[in-house]
Amino acid sequence: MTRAILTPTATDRLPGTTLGASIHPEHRSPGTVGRRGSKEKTEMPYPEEMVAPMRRELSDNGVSELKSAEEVDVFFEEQTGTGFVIVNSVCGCAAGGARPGALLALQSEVCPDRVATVFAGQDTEATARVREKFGDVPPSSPSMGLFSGGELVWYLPRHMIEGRDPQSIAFEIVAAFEAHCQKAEG
Amino acid sequence: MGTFHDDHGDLHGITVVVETSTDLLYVGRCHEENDNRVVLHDADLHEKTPGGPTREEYLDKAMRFGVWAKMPTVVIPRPEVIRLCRLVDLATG
Repeated sequence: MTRAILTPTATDRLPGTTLGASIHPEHRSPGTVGRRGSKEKTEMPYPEEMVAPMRRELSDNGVSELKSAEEVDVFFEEQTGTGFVIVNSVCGCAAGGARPGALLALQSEVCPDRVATVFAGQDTEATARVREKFGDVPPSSPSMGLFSGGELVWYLPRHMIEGRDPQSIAFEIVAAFEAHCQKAEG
Repeated sequence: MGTFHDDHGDLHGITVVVETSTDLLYVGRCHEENDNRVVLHDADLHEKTPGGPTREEYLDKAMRFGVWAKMPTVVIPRPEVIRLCRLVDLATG
Protein backbone atom coordinates (compact mmCIF):
# COMPACT_ATOMS: atom_id res chain seq x y z
CA MET A 1 0.00 0.00 0.00
CA THR A 2 1.39 3.37 -0.94
CA ARG A 3 0.84 5.90 1.81
CA ALA A 4 -0.05 9.41 0.94
CA ILE A 5 2.69 11.94 1.43
CA LEU A 6 2.16 14.24 4.38
CA THR A 7 4.14 17.42 4.15
CA PRO A 8 4.93 19.82 6.95
CA THR A 9 4.03 22.96 5.09
CA ALA A 10 1.82 23.84 2.21
CA THR A 11 4.65 24.97 0.00
CA ASP A 12 7.12 22.15 0.56
CA ARG A 13 7.19 19.44 -2.13
CA LEU A 14 4.88 21.36 -4.41
CA PRO A 15 7.08 22.55 -7.26
CA GLY A 16 5.72 25.60 -8.95
CA THR A 17 3.52 26.60 -6.08
CA THR A 18 3.73 30.30 -5.51
CA LEU A 19 3.69 31.37 -1.90
CA GLY A 20 0.29 32.77 -1.08
CA ALA A 21 -1.26 31.81 -4.37
CA SER A 22 -2.81 28.58 -3.25
CA ILE A 23 -3.47 28.98 0.40
CA HIS A 24 -6.74 30.06 1.96
CA PRO A 25 -6.37 33.73 2.82
CA GLU A 26 -6.94 33.20 6.51
CA HIS A 27 -4.09 30.74 6.65
CA ARG A 28 -1.65 32.63 4.46
CA SER A 29 -2.29 36.30 4.98
CA PRO A 30 0.06 38.88 3.48
CA GLY A 31 1.77 39.36 6.79
CA THR A 32 2.46 35.71 7.47
CA VAL A 33 6.08 35.25 8.37
CA GLY A 34 8.10 32.30 9.50
CA ARG A 35 10.91 30.00 8.50
CA ARG A 36 10.23 27.59 5.68
CA GLY A 37 9.06 24.40 7.29
CA SER A 38 8.54 26.05 10.64
CA LYS A 39 5.22 25.77 12.39
CA GLU A 40 5.90 29.06 14.11
CA LYS A 41 4.14 31.80 12.27
CA THR A 42 3.00 35.25 13.13
CA GLU A 43 -0.31 36.03 11.53
CA MET A 44 -0.84 39.66 10.67
CA PRO A 45 -4.16 41.01 9.53
CA TYR A 46 -4.91 42.41 6.12
CA PRO A 47 -4.85 46.20 5.79
CA GLU A 48 -8.01 47.59 7.33
CA GLU A 49 -8.85 49.66 4.25
CA MET A 50 -9.00 46.45 2.27
CA VAL A 51 -11.44 44.66 4.54
CA ALA A 52 -13.55 47.68 5.51
CA PRO A 53 -16.04 47.18 2.65
CA MET A 54 -16.40 43.52 3.65
CA ARG A 55 -17.22 44.61 7.18
CA ARG A 56 -19.65 47.28 6.03
CA GLU A 57 -21.60 44.86 3.86
CA LEU A 58 -22.88 43.35 7.11
CA SER A 59 -22.65 46.25 9.55
CA ASP A 60 -24.53 48.60 7.22
CA ASN A 61 -27.35 46.10 7.25
CA GLY A 62 -27.98 45.85 10.96
CA VAL A 63 -25.39 43.25 11.92
CA SER A 64 -23.42 44.20 15.03
CA GLU A 65 -19.66 43.92 14.70
CA LEU A 66 -17.84 42.32 17.61
CA LYS A 67 -14.19 43.30 17.56
CA SER A 68 -12.97 42.15 20.96
CA ALA A 69 -13.45 39.24 23.32
CA GLU A 70 -15.23 41.59 25.70
CA GLU A 71 -17.75 42.55 23.04
CA VAL A 72 -18.36 38.87 22.33
CA ASP A 73 -18.90 38.23 26.03
CA VAL A 74 -21.42 41.07 26.20
CA PHE A 75 -23.27 39.66 23.18
CA PHE A 76 -23.51 36.27 24.87
CA GLU A 77 -24.46 37.66 28.29
CA GLU A 78 -28.04 37.81 27.07
CA GLN A 79 -29.03 34.17 27.32
CA THR A 80 -32.71 34.51 26.52
CA GLY A 81 -33.99 34.23 22.98
CA THR A 82 -31.80 33.55 19.97
CA GLY A 83 -28.53 34.93 18.65
CA PHE A 84 -27.03 34.51 15.19
CA VAL A 85 -23.28 34.92 14.66
CA ILE A 86 -21.62 35.22 11.27
CA VAL A 87 -17.89 34.49 11.05
CA ASN A 88 -16.88 36.76 8.18
CA SER A 89 -13.69 36.35 6.14
CA VAL A 90 -11.82 37.78 3.16
CA CYS A 91 -12.25 34.70 1.01
CA GLY A 92 -14.34 34.52 -2.11
CA CYS A 93 -17.01 32.29 -0.62
CA ALA A 94 -17.71 34.94 2.01
CA ALA A 95 -18.20 37.55 -0.71
CA GLY A 96 -20.11 35.33 -3.09
CA GLY A 97 -22.12 33.24 -0.66
CA ALA A 98 -21.90 33.88 3.06
CA ARG A 99 -22.54 37.61 3.30
CA PRO A 100 -25.26 37.91 0.64
CA GLY A 101 -26.84 34.65 1.82
CA ALA A 102 -26.97 35.82 5.42
CA LEU A 103 -28.37 39.21 4.47
CA LEU A 104 -31.02 37.56 2.33
CA ALA A 105 -31.99 35.28 5.20
CA LEU A 106 -32.21 38.21 7.60
CA GLN A 107 -35.07 39.58 5.48
CA SER A 108 -37.10 36.58 6.57
CA GLU A 109 -40.25 37.01 8.65
CA VAL A 110 -38.67 34.83 11.32
CA CYS A 111 -35.33 36.11 12.53
CA PRO A 112 -33.12 35.74 15.59
CA ASP A 113 -33.32 38.28 18.40
CA ARG A 114 -29.70 39.35 18.04
CA VAL A 115 -27.32 39.24 15.09
CA ALA A 116 -23.57 39.81 15.20
CA THR A 117 -20.42 39.18 13.22
CA VAL A 118 -16.74 38.66 13.85
CA PHE A 119 -14.03 38.91 11.21
CA ALA A 120 -11.73 35.88 11.08
CA GLY A 121 -8.09 36.69 10.44
CA GLN A 122 -8.70 40.32 11.41
CA ASP A 123 -10.36 40.44 14.81
CA THR A 124 -8.58 37.35 16.05
CA GLU A 125 -9.42 37.74 19.73
CA ALA A 126 -13.12 38.15 19.07
CA THR A 127 -13.11 35.26 16.60
CA ALA A 128 -11.34 32.99 19.07
CA ARG A 129 -13.92 33.81 21.73
CA VAL A 130 -16.80 33.07 19.36
CA ARG A 131 -15.17 29.77 18.46
CA GLU A 132 -15.08 28.93 22.16
CA LYS A 133 -18.83 29.43 22.14
CA PHE A 134 -19.11 27.07 19.19
CA GLY A 135 -17.69 24.35 21.42
CA ASP A 136 -16.12 21.28 19.85
CA VAL A 137 -16.58 22.50 16.30
CA PRO A 138 -13.55 22.77 14.01
CA PRO A 139 -12.66 26.38 13.15
CA SER A 140 -14.09 27.39 9.82
CA SER A 141 -14.51 30.66 8.00
CA PRO A 142 -16.78 31.84 6.72
CA SER A 143 -19.26 30.06 8.94
CA MET A 144 -22.40 30.82 10.92
CA GLY A 145 -23.95 29.67 14.18
CA LEU A 146 -27.39 30.06 15.70
CA PHE A 147 -27.68 30.07 19.47
CA SER A 148 -30.79 29.57 21.57
CA GLY A 149 -30.64 30.11 25.30
CA GLY A 150 -26.89 30.46 24.94
CA GLU A 151 -26.53 27.01 23.34
CA LEU A 152 -25.40 26.38 19.78
CA VAL A 153 -28.41 24.83 18.03
CA TRP A 154 -27.37 25.09 14.39
CA TYR A 155 -24.10 25.55 12.55
CA LEU A 156 -23.18 26.17 8.94
CA PRO A 157 -19.51 25.38 8.21
CA ARG A 158 -17.49 26.73 5.33
CA HIS A 159 -17.93 23.65 3.15
CA MET A 160 -21.69 24.27 3.12
CA ILE A 161 -21.01 27.75 1.72
CA GLU A 162 -18.28 27.04 -0.83
CA GLY A 163 -19.44 27.34 -4.40
CA ARG A 164 -23.11 27.72 -3.48
CA ASP A 165 -25.33 30.60 -4.49
CA PRO A 166 -26.66 33.03 -1.87
CA GLN A 167 -30.23 31.80 -2.33
CA SER A 168 -29.33 28.21 -1.44
CA ILE A 169 -27.41 29.38 1.60
CA ALA A 170 -30.24 31.69 2.66
CA PHE A 171 -32.69 28.82 2.31
CA GLU A 172 -30.73 26.78 4.85
CA ILE A 173 -30.38 29.71 7.22
CA VAL A 174 -34.08 30.54 7.07
CA ALA A 175 -34.92 26.89 7.77
CA ALA A 176 -32.80 27.16 10.92
CA PHE A 177 -34.49 30.45 11.89
CA GLU A 178 -37.91 28.87 11.45
CA ALA A 179 -36.89 25.87 13.53
CA HIS A 180 -35.43 27.82 16.42
CA CYS A 181 -36.62 31.44 16.37
CA GLN A 182 -39.95 33.04 17.07
CA LYS A 183 -41.76 35.23 14.61
CA ALA A 184 -41.66 38.87 15.65
CA GLU A 185 -45.01 40.20 16.89
CA GLY A 186 -46.74 42.92 14.95
CA MET B 1 -9.81 38.72 -3.63
CA GLY B 2 -9.82 35.37 -1.95
CA THR B 3 -8.49 32.10 -3.23
CA PHE B 4 -6.48 32.37 -6.44
CA HIS B 5 -7.63 29.56 -8.69
CA ASP B 6 -5.12 29.83 -11.57
CA ASP B 7 -5.53 26.59 -13.54
CA HIS B 8 -6.08 24.23 -10.66
CA GLY B 9 -9.49 22.98 -11.79
CA ASP B 10 -13.08 23.28 -10.67
CA LEU B 11 -12.47 21.79 -7.24
CA HIS B 12 -9.68 24.16 -6.29
CA GLY B 13 -10.42 25.71 -2.91
CA ILE B 14 -13.40 23.42 -2.32
CA THR B 15 -13.65 21.02 0.61
CA VAL B 16 -13.69 17.52 -0.81
CA VAL B 17 -13.87 13.90 0.27
CA VAL B 18 -11.25 11.55 -1.14
CA GLU B 19 -12.15 7.91 -0.72
CA THR B 20 -9.22 5.58 -1.37
CA SER B 21 -8.75 1.89 -2.01
CA THR B 22 -6.77 1.73 1.23
CA ASP B 23 -8.15 2.05 4.75
CA LEU B 24 -7.81 5.82 4.52
CA LEU B 25 -10.38 8.46 3.63
CA TYR B 26 -9.44 12.12 3.49
CA VAL B 27 -11.41 15.34 3.87
CA GLY B 28 -9.68 18.59 2.99
CA ARG B 29 -9.52 21.61 0.74
CA CYS B 30 -8.60 20.58 -2.78
CA HIS B 31 -5.50 22.26 -4.15
CA GLU B 32 -4.84 20.17 -7.21
CA GLU B 33 -6.10 17.04 -8.91
CA ASN B 34 -4.67 15.36 -11.97
CA ASP B 35 -3.91 11.89 -13.32
CA ASN B 36 -1.06 11.47 -10.87
CA ARG B 37 -2.23 12.85 -7.57
CA VAL B 38 -4.75 14.72 -5.52
CA VAL B 39 -3.35 17.43 -3.27
CA LEU B 40 -5.35 18.62 -0.28
CA HIS B 41 -4.68 21.41 2.18
CA ASP B 42 -5.88 21.57 5.78
CA ALA B 43 -6.90 17.94 5.67
CA ASP B 44 -8.10 15.35 8.11
CA LEU B 45 -8.26 11.62 7.60
CA HIS B 46 -10.28 8.67 8.75
CA GLU B 47 -8.65 5.31 9.08
CA LYS B 48 -10.62 2.13 9.44
CA THR B 49 -9.79 0.71 12.84
CA PRO B 50 -11.49 -2.00 14.87
CA GLY B 51 -13.93 -0.39 17.28
CA GLY B 52 -13.39 3.07 15.81
CA PRO B 53 -15.96 5.19 14.03
CA THR B 54 -17.01 3.93 10.64
CA ARG B 55 -16.50 5.97 7.48
CA GLU B 56 -20.19 6.77 7.52
CA GLU B 57 -20.06 8.01 11.11
CA TYR B 58 -16.95 10.06 10.39
CA LEU B 59 -18.49 11.60 7.27
CA ASP B 60 -21.76 12.35 9.04
CA LYS B 61 -19.90 14.44 11.60
CA ALA B 62 -17.72 16.05 8.93
CA MET B 63 -20.79 17.06 6.94
CA ARG B 64 -22.38 18.74 9.94
CA PHE B 65 -19.38 20.48 11.46
CA GLY B 66 -16.40 20.24 9.10
CA VAL B 67 -13.05 18.72 10.04
CA TRP B 68 -10.02 19.68 12.06
CA ALA B 69 -7.10 20.68 9.84
CA LYS B 70 -4.61 18.12 11.08
CA MET B 71 -2.38 18.09 7.99
CA PRO B 72 -1.30 21.28 6.18
CA THR B 73 -0.87 19.32 2.96
CA VAL B 74 -1.52 15.76 1.91
CA VAL B 75 -0.62 14.26 -1.47
CA ILE B 76 -2.69 11.23 -2.42
CA PRO B 77 -1.59 8.99 -5.33
CA ARG B 78 -4.35 9.12 -7.93
CA PRO B 79 -4.43 5.37 -8.59
CA GLU B 80 -5.58 4.90 -5.00
CA VAL B 81 -8.50 7.29 -5.37
CA ILE B 82 -11.82 5.58 -5.92
CA ARG B 83 -14.03 8.61 -5.27
CA LEU B 84 -13.43 12.35 -5.22
CA CYS B 85 -16.42 14.57 -4.50
CA ARG B 86 -17.40 17.77 -2.77
CA LEU B 87 -18.31 17.35 0.89
CA VAL B 88 -21.32 19.59 0.38
CA ASP B 89 -22.65 17.19 -2.24
CA LEU B 90 -22.71 14.42 0.33
CA ALA B 91 -24.40 16.70 2.83
CA THR B 92 -27.10 17.90 0.47
CA GLY B 93 -27.64 14.56 -1.24
